[in-house]
Amino acid sequence: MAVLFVNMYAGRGLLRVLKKKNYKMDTKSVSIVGIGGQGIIMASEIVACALMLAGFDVKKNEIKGMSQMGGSVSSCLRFGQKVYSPLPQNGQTDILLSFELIEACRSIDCLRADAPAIINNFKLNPMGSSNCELDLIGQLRQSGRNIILVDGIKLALEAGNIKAVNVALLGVLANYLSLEKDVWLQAVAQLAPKKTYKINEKAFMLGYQNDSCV
Amino acid sequence: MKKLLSGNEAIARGSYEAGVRFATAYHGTPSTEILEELAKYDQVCAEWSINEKVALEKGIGAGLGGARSLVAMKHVGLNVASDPFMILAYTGVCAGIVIVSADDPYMHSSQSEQDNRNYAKFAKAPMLEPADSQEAKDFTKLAFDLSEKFDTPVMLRTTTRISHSKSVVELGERHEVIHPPFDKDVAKYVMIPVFARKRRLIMENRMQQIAGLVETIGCNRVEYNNRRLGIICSGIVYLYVKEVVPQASILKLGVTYPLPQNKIKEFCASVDKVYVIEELDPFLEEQIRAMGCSVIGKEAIPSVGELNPDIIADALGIRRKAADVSDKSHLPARPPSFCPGCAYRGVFYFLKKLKVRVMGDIGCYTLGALPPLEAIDAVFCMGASIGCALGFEKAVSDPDVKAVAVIGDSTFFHSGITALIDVIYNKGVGTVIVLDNHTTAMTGFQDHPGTGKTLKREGSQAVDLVKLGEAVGFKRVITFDPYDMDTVYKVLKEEIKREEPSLIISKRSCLLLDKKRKYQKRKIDAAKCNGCGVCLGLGCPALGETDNKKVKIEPVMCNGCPVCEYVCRQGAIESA
Repeated sequence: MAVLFVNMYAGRGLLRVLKKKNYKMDTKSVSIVGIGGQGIIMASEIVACALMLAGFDVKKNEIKGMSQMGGSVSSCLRFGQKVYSPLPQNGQTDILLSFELIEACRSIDCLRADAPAIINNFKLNPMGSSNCELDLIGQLRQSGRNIILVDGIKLALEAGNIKAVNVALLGVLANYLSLEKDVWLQAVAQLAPKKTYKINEKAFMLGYQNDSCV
Repeated sequence: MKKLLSGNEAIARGSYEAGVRFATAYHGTPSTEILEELAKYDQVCAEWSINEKVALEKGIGAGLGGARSLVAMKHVGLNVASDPFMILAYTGVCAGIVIVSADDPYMHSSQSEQDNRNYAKFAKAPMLEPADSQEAKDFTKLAFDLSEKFDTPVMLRTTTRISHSKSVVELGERHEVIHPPFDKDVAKYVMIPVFARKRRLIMENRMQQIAGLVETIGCNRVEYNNRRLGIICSGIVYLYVKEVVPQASILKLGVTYPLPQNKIKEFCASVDKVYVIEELDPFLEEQIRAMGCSVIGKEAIPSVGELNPDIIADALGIRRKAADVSDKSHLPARPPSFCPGCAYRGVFYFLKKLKVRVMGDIGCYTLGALPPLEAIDAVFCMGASIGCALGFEKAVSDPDVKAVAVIGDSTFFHSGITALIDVIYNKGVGTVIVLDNHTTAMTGFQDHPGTGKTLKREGSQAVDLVKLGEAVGFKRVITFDPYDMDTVYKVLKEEIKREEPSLIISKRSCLLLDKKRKYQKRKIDAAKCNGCGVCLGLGCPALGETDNKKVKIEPVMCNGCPVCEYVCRQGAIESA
């Protein structure tokens, strides 16, 4: 896996050093998209918590309301030494995590050229509509971004519950954000329901160690 | 301690720290979470009110009783509460009262994008606008201090992006504020003309005093950088501006009514060119122009919808690398729709079949206006369905052209009851259908006077809709289970035809709440399905076409309601 774009800022210690040296780190943006009911908001809560635990300033935004179950959902996170806008500019997002292929296609342009897109290799046709037979993966690759396909459902089932797809995908994302692993697990422990922690921990680790990207 | 809080959570936290003892709201996106958060504190009496007007009146009463009070609502809620709001600005407060107006530019989940900053000017009440969650918390506390210092209600205005964005907040301690109940003072609290005329002068005097204070208050801040470009802004726009043009000089307004006239004039004189960047109406711009300042405003900045960093960059002519964008119109959309198994679906199916005009209302069921059901013909505001249907009935002489009112339970309590009484008083003969799913599903399952539960999840007396209908004079009050399709059709057909007013209560819990619900998923017998598509007209997300033009039922999605089985003429749908 390539493009470890913030690996130099790993963890709190380095951030302190940066602050001391008065080094200005640009604000980075992560976008998480998918379908209502897939656990996108919970996933973005965990990322935001992990980033905060690592010492970053964090802002996060999502629109909720009329998109109940089955609607498109997206959440945007921004982090750095000092974050202003909760929304990035068009085409300035540094990493995309998509829980679904059609939603990935819809959002791929938010990314910078050749930025990584971690995509759950799963397609859910919009409710009530006929089968979407587009070559979604082909279109994604054509966009010029670094497409990383992950079988999130397989990872979640291996961890013991299909609902853990979101945390498994976060495990993959963790490789691209280069925070310390413990920070992530601490965030999962803080936010996921207690009785699901074991499964979520396993799902996270499976995603984290996953190198069998499709 | 630092915590990641949404703007709404931060307002709740700020209220708690400010010693608020009473808080109330009627839920509405994007304001709902404020009260849900406040309900977690034992020190705060937090309640859902029946509507925003009653909420504010309770807030006023609590203030008179000596408790700092927070009253929260979405922008259109302040229309409902505007009557007491206008008068409260006359009387002033005893303990501090802060009114939160959460506006919704772009109408993410609203019927209008009215700019409620106009209400502050209209009522002559000061207004604060935070930009992020830390400010949301700090400004809430400041608002209570200003309210008590100047004896005035204070408006705290947010927008969807502030209410629902999360950012890091430093938490503080709670400071108890105890005031005694108000002293009898009829000239202050009884607004009859003779007293109101005196209060009117006091209001003017008060606004002048506040206008003096806002010149020096810390939250109206000038950040001088490059003097060639100056920007006046407030709220979330400040954050977008810092992102897009960090080199600009900025006058960031925390108090957006009244405005600091001297500070604005001085700022405009110190920079070469001034932009006023604001979402929606030219609220700041018009006032600043009236001060004699030359600024660029709505000729460059859209007044419709939300702003974002890209729109601002374009307006300021900042050249950027073009984003690599391709056409996405070929991708299938995911519009909101009724959940599979929703109890509303069958009712709307029959209303469409009966070819009546349907006056709808605000809630999940507003989706009944969209294809393929397309059963609702008109939707205005909370509670409007019943009055609209009654007026329509009065205007139309053809007895075959009928209108029915369709309203959810929470909306009915909010503002349908008064119109229901009007139906009887004015000898209406129409049909009112209350879709009673025992919750406010649209905003995320809040309780209301019909559920028998309060915001703090304590038991309470539930209003009995049948007895209520009978008490106001309905001779025909009929309750059915919307899953009982034969009865639904029979009752609707008869009651709509009848020249007598009837109240129909369609009673079934929202299936997302009903965890103990037992149900049988449905499946298609492919041998019997002839692909006629009648079931697809229900707009059920679980139903879709197969490649050979037959229908399939997605087993994961199906929540096992009987509606598709009922409408299938081929008998091709059965329990799985």
